[in-house]
Amino acid sequence: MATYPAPGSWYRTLSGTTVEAPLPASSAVAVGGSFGTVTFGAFSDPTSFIDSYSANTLNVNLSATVSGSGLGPYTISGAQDGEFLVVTLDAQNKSGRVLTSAVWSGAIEKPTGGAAWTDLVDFDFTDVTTASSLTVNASTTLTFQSSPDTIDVYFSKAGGAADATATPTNGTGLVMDGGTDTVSQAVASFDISGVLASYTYQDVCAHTYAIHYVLEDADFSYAPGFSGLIGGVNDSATTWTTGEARSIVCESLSGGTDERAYMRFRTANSGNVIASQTILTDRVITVLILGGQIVQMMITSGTTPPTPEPGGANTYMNGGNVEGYNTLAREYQEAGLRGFVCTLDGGSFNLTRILVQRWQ
Amino acid sequence: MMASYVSPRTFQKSTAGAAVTPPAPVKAVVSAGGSFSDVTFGAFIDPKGLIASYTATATNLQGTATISGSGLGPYTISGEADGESLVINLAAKDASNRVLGYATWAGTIILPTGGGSWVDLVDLDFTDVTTTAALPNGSSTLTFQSSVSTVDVYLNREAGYNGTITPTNGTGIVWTDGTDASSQGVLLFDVDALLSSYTVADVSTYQYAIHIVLTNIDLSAVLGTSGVDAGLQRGNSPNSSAGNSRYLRTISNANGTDEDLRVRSRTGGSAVIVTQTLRPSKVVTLILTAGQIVDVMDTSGTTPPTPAPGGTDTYNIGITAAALGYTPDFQANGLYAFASSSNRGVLTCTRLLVQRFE
Repeated sequence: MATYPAPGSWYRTLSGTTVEAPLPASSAVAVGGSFGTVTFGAFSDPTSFIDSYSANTLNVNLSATVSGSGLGPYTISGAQDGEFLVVTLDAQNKSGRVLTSAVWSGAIEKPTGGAAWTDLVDFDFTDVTTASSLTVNASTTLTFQSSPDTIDVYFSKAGGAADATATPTNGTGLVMDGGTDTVSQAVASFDISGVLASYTYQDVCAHTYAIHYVLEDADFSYAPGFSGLIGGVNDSATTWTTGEARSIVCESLSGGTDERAYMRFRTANSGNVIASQTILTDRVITVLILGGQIVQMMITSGTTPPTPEPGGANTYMNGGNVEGYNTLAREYQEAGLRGFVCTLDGGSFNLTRILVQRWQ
Repeated sequence: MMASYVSPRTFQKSTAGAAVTPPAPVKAVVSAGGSFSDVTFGAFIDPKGLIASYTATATNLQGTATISGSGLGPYTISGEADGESLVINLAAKDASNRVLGYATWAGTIILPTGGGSWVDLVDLDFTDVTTTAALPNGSSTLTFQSSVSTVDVYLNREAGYNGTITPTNGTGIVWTDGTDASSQGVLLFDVDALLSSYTVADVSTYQYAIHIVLTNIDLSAVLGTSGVDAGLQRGNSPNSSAGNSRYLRTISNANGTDEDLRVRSRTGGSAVIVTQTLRPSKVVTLILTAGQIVDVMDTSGTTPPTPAPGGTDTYNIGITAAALGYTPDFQANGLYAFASSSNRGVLTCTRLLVQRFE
């Protein structure tokens, strides 16, 4: 057996020092940009211990992915503004042991100065606590199974609607059944300002608000040409025809398969904003309040609230009322803000969600 | 007898590079408005005691935070802000200062959702205006000495104004008082023509602020009567007395030291809403909401304020009705901003700044 000197003289020289990683590298990219491919610098490996490389990704923010091999190039996919990731490249010996690692980090700048629609409150009515039909001409506080949230709703009827009901039903939503009276409305009016953390004169002057009503399983078959549904906003009035009530009315056409839509201020109607379209089983009615005073509306098929589009091609300009000089008053703030949904002439639907957002 | 040992090569194969193992990379994600906690790195695996020192290096991918500390930590991070993206690489070194391995920490602070701000769209410096003779009635185009900008203006002499309005390089647009104490010299600026886009969607989505900077204000000609006006008008009505003008009127108080503010539309308006010491320079900020609602701020000096819709010192100039199916009144026909001598008021307009919140 060969003999060798004690390790002391060479031990420290060899252990862990024969492989050295390149210096850490980084890449900072401006908003809207993208990462180039990443190629790591060569490791110092005079005795050729490196057998393979293995790259690992740490996603600090967002979820870009990395593909490639060896020292690279590595391609980064799916990176967006605000992306931030660290790629560690392990140099391994034949036994798969990590000899040392190189590090690359990259970030795409987060955009600033970007106003956005921010969720303020979001009520999932499929989670509502089941109760019997709401008491007519009274306010009821709705509770939810999975959250401590509550919201006050005032239920009323206009023009009859003797057998119309509004029933909180867990798993389904607030079930609005228009009954059998074809010249009536059943109104569920929600205290929206009451559920907002702040809703001051300054708030409404500075921010546009969006209220989305998600309405599902619409059934206008009871009286084609009459039955439908309505969504809108009001000041403190709980009706859909007085106060500052502004709404959009979706009404079936006589053929039973299509519907039209028009806007309304109190009892005044606009012309059709939608002359005819297939009845939407599920829809989102979005009401925009600009400056606490001006109302615009959208109708979107399906159950996903759209990104509000003030003044957009498919946004309907409902309007606003007058105010005098130097008043600290806006119609949809001064006395509060209510949002409402109604059955129209025997129409039925389920309210499954109310989402309130604002532009900030 | 000499002790037997394995060969250096055998030893090297089994231990080279593997004697120091850094801790796995660590990340920290902090909510908006928060700050980073101190960073302490986990221990490196170093069974043979090769590590002699540590060197930490901070890389600012976004932001300018700094670090202080030593060894494995704790490292204190200072100066971080929302949006910060910071990497700290900790190099473990041997006695020869060679790097044995790196530990990595990466941290970010989320930006607040919805970080809107007031963004400048147009900024006209009238001290740089090209000097011309006094403006004629009706339309003119002003040019500038140091830029290719131009702006269309319209001079309307209302009720017999016989002063002059003169673009004067180095000073601004200069109003003289004339001799008629019951008239207005109204100069309207064609604002929408300066904007790259000014659609229904624009005015419905964004609030606009138009700052009019006025200097050399002298309201002493007729105390209690002389004043200056500044406001907005729809673009098909080149005057201050008709259409849908919405403006702030500043009139000297009879006491000679104060001024009174009123908000007005056309020839009507509010009672005095503020009495304050005369301001020789002021910025009148018109805030346009939904292309339909005009609020106004009055700020002493020449620096445009951050617009404060609904703020304590922001005054509403009344709101007209918007009918079912309306189009925004200050968009459908374009947008004028105007400044005016009223009843022999003297003023100079030095700047017009247009911003929007986006």
